[in-house]
Amino acid sequence: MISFRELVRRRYVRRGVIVFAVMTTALGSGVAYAAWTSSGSGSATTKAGTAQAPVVSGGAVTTGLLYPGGTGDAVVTVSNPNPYPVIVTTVAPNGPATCGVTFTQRSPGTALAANSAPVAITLTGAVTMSSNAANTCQGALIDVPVLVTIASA
Amino acid sequence: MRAVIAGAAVLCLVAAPAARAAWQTAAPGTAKAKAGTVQALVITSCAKGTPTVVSWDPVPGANLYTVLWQQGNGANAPFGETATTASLTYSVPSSISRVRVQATVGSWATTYTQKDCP
Repeated sequence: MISFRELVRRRYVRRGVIVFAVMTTALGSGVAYAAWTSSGSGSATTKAGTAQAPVVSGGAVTTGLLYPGGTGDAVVTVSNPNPYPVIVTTVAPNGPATCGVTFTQRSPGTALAANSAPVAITLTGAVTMSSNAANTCQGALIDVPVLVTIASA
Repeated sequence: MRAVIAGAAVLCLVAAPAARAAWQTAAPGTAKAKAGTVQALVITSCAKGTPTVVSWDPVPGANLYTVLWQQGNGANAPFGETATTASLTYSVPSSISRVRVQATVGSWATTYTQKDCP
């Protein structure tokens, strides 16, 4: 004869076995599901950099000296801070210069390597001195404001 | 006909230049230019006489030469001349002992160069 207490204990045991079986089944199927879908579709993200402006300064002038009413050479030094090669597409006037000197736009097409050191570009015949330049301009080193544009090669 | 159209399409695809969108950027800065100088004038001779003849080396680009005369005491004579070539013939008083010449190139000029006229 089984006591009432024993019956209750057996019921709890049975319930525990059932719960355990359900949980095990559920977890087991979950593991199996994960193993079956080890590959899938999705998207990674990446970010494009931004173009860095060229570094511009003047260079040493050794040719094409200016005289009143005459044309001469200008020298500009450009370096490329970008991690890709570029071409110097245009050098354009960007304001007045002293001694009545004017600048005419040039398209040098000079190639610069990635992260290049400064490269001197001679712009032949790009500057003109007015015919009434002051006598004090003799031998002067003249700053010519320019705007240098580069483009990825 | 279809073959012709298909061939033309293939040729177009082959011949068409690849689209190219270059990255472009710009920055201001300064280029350098250099002004020349007017070559110094050198007086080669000054022979005082009747008339007095003074000569100098031509200065490249010069379109005018200004000639001044100095008296023995260093004062400038109250007369001067201009020339467009590298010499000048002029009748000067016996008190003149020195000549000074300046070249003009456009809006620029040399400093005066001087020479005694024995």
